[in-house]
Amino acid sequence: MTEQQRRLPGTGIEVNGLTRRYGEVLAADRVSFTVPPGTMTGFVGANGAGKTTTMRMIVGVLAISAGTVSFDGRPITAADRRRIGYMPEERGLYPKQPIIDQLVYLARIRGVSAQAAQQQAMGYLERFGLADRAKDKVEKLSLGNQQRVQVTAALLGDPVALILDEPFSGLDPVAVDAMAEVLRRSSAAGVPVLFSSHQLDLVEKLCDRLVILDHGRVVAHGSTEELRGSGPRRHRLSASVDLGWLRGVRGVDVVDLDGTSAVLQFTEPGADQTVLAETMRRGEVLEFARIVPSLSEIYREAAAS
Amino acid sequence: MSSTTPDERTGSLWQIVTGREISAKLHDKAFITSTITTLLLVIVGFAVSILITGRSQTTTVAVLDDQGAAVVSAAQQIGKASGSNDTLEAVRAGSLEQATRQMDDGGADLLLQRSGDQWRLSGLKSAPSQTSTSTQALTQAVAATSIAGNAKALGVSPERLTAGTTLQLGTLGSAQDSEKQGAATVLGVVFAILFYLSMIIFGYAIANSVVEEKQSRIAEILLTAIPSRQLLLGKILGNTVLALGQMVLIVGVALAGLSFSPWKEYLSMVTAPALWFLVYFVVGFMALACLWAAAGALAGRSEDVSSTSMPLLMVVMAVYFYGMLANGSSQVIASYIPVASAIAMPTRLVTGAASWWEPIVSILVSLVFSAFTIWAGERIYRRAILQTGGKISLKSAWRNADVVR
Repeated sequence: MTEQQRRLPGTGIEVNGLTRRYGEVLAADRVSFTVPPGTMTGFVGANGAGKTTTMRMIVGVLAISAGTVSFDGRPITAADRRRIGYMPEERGLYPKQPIIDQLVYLARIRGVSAQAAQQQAMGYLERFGLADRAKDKVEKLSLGNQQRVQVTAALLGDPVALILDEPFSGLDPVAVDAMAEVLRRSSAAGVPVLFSSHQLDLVEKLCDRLVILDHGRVVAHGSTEELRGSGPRRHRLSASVDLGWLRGVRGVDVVDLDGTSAVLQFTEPGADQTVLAETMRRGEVLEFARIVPSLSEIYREAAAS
Repeated sequence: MSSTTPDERTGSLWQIVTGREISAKLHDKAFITSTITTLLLVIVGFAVSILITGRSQTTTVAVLDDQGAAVVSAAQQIGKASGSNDTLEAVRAGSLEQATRQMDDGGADLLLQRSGDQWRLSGLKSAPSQTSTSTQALTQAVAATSIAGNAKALGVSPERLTAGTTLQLGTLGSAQDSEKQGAATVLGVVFAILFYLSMIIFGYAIANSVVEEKQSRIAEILLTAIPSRQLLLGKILGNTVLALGQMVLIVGVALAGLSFSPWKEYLSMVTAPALWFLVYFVVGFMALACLWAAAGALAGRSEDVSSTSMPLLMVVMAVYFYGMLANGSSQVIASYIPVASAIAMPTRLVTGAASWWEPIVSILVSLVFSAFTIWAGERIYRRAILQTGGKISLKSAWRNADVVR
């Protein structure tokens, strides 16, 4: 832990103009974003948007056509990559080898001594409730449990960063919670965590930051607060009287109107106060609130634009 | 969580990979079973051949008169003189019918009778085999008896009549040379089979272990931590150690079996070539191992391995037949061709046809060739191991710009 805390002042992972060409096709097109230490960054996008391609370039298993990856402010090295906990999209474990044996193997090739690897691996297996199955072959485990072993493999050796491709796919709700807890712990310890997911509700719950990818390009990226704030500022107004008068008020864009309730967008500063005062004069204000867009709305909007 | 201080060095990671390969194989029931089965086959083979050669056959011949009995007893003497353990016995029968009955009951195997001047040897249902030792002895006995009778009738001695009529068979060299040639032929076949089996079993094992990692995508995890060269090296060394271990066991058991068999005088003749074979085996194995790994990397799934490894299989087959069938100057050439030399050179060493420096030069040629195949295999492996999505052609893998670290 001490070692991980020492990492806090670093700048984490910085991706700059990362491009990957397959002939004429651009699987990743000048992708830039940062994964600061101590944050969880969600990586979302439709199938084929370039998430896996980008992650594979970061961990160094796919050649970069153009652009750079930096770690803690300097170009990433093989030694850095060796200490990144990586979980590929398609799960990779030896089906016919006992769980504990391959966890120890995977930790050892990352430079952890056999004894420390054994201890760490057993620690994680206990946390995931798999300690009694340590000697079972991986193929004997349920898919959810294989997933836990897979994540354990990424967590071994105190990784300096975690890059996880769809870590939650195929997990039951209990396992999702356990996995989320593990990721939160790592990120709280100062480890930059980047994970991709299709489950936007989950990303919303867990992530501090978001990178939205569409057709190989970053269409939005920043903290979830920033992204929510960057969208159009809309308000919901509902009153005891008909709101038809709102049409034609200066500085107010009526997005939706249904008798006594309306969705408004204020285009001039102060217009919100004017509308509120006028509504109160005409009747009773039942609700006046800023509409906070959900992540899926942000995503849809970003992908559509 | 225990605190760990990871070792940053990557230079000796292959050792960990080698360790895993060996331990995974030693826990693999199929591998253990096949090793034990092979050893049992070798042991049973020796046991059966010792039993067969140790056993002597008795052939009973029904005769109708004293003359017939005399021929059979002469044949027994001739057989004994030529070193056969088989015995020929005459049984008297009063008549042809009685003789047939005896043969029916199993009391006699053959019937020897004389009708006029002609001797006749009959089996019950099929004619006696021309090449069996008992038939040959009887043929000679009949000839000698008839010649003696004819000579007497002509008034000359049988020796004068037959003088200079026999063809003596021999070699220009010593008697040992022909033995050596025989041993070399047998050993050539044995080495070829061992090499072929081991190369196929371990070749596929290497290819499958590569494709297993590729197909399950564990290669992706491994390659973030370990340079591909080290992964490949570890894998090949692990399998070479296993293959050599298995080969040493088989050759050891075979030599031990030989020392208990009737041919134990050959032991000193084959031990040195067998040891040379092990040396050649390692070099030949290493030369092809990297190519097997490349064949595995070219496959997308384990089902593709059989087609991506087809060219290699052809090479191994060709070596198998060449090494077995080559003789004379083509064998000399074969003993310098990498991989084929693994079979041809030890065979030449048995006959003593090779000078002391020849195996050394041939090994050097093989080592140079290995360096080339390792370079080529590694090049393909590094360009294909992460190319998921089906089988990859050799050409596109060779030219692929995506190289794994």
